[in-house]
Amino acid sequence: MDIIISHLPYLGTWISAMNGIPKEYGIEVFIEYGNDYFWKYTIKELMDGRTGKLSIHGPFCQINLAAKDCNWQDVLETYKWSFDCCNKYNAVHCVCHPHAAMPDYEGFQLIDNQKLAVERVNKLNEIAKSQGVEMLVENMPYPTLVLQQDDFVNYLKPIEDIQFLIDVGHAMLHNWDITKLLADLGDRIRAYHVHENFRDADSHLKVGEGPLDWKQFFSDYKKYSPEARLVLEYMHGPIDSIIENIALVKSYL
Amino acid sequence: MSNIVISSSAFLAFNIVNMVKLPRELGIEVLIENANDYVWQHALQELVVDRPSEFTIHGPFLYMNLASIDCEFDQVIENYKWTFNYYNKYGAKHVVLHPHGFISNPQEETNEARKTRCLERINKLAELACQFGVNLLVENMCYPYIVFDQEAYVDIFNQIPSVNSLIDVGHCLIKSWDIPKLLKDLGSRINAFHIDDNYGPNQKDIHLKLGVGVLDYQEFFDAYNLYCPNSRLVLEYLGVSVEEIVDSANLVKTLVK
Repeated sequence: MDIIISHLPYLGTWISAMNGIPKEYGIEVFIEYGNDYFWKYTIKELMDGRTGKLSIHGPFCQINLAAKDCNWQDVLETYKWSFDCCNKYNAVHCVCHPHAAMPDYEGFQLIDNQKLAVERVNKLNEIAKSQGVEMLVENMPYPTLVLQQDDFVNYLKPIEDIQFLIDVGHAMLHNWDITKLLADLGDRIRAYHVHENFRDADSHLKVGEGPLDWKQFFSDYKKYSPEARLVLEYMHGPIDSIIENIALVKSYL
Repeated sequence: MSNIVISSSAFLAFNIVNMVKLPRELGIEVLIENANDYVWQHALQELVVDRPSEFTIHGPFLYMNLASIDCEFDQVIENYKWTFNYYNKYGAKHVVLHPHGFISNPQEETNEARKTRCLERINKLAELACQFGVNLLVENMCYPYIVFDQEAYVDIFNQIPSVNSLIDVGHCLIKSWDIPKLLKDLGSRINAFHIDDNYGPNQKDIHLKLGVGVLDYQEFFDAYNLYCPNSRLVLEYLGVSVEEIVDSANLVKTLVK
């Protein structure tokens, strides 16, 4: 099982602080927040001598796969670029957001938007596979969800090639039944975004800072998806506090 | 009245979309290396097109040390061509260049050798800027070791006439530069400022709002109004809200003549 630390607390200029992360832990970067030059040199430095894995969070800024007016051709191009980056830098997965905020327009039908999102996710996954990239579909945090728990599982699980990243904080924000979710998706869950909140906002707190029963979560984790990567996607550092938190995570394992 | 521009430093990554909440009479400066083409094309379409205020670009600087013998300068050139294309596509007013980066071992070679290397590379980027029709501005740095002290920094603009200056006021504070003298010496060669504050000599470069740190902003604006009253004022803050930025811009408006 790999432990990976998200770039979330170190956006922009601060990314170089991630050099302070012990080499046995991996790094997940938000690939859309840098150009080619930036990633060439940043990843070279961050991954130098690192035994932990690199993973990539795919693009999602100003992208809504559930929206009719999604810039689909541009989205395809930015995903292809992201998959190229996965291959160039040996990333183990690329995270995909299946939708953004609930679309709102005259004549809106939820089912149409759900189908559109699933169709596009499927297309992106086909491209990922053709490029040899493992794309993972994440559950979302928005106030109203295009894909609630049942729809997320019922629409996406039947597509056998699709693999998942479960964001634990997003699941608890919407009071999803996490035990059932892990049982339903099993080892199709290839990674988790690990963080929590007080069910009031997507605050990306560290394990133990909120109310989640982590003992239960890790018991389910070990039962249903024991090989899945754990990406600690925390809002804040510093690195010392994240390292300290990893010790807590390990104690559950 | 001077143009007031807001840096994307307070709106990193997915927060870039929140710049749409800024009043449209305030301009926008983006840290261009901090996003890919998809993000910029869609963000700039919304933020910049038909905006009645100015758009400016902070050029790339991470992992790019013009003073270093190891700098892969051909790659830097390509990165600046990419940047200059955005300048032209969206009608930007300037691109900011860092003349060098952090130097970990100052004793490794003489400052003269580093200065010569920096000037040679700035000159090449300046030539490229001329080819693209770009207004390239060289910023003053605040690393513990700097290649250009105040006097040498002023001399850059004698040596390379096609570039102009962007003065980062916070960086001046950290390096104890004489700000009124600097503004007097460079005058209209100062095309823009980065406005930010901090706790002064040898302290951290924390990009506080104007008035929160030790900057004597009355003295600064007296010199500004006297020597370079048409220079652009880019508020380059970290960790502040839209409301705080708007309040700060309103304060700045009261200080410029």
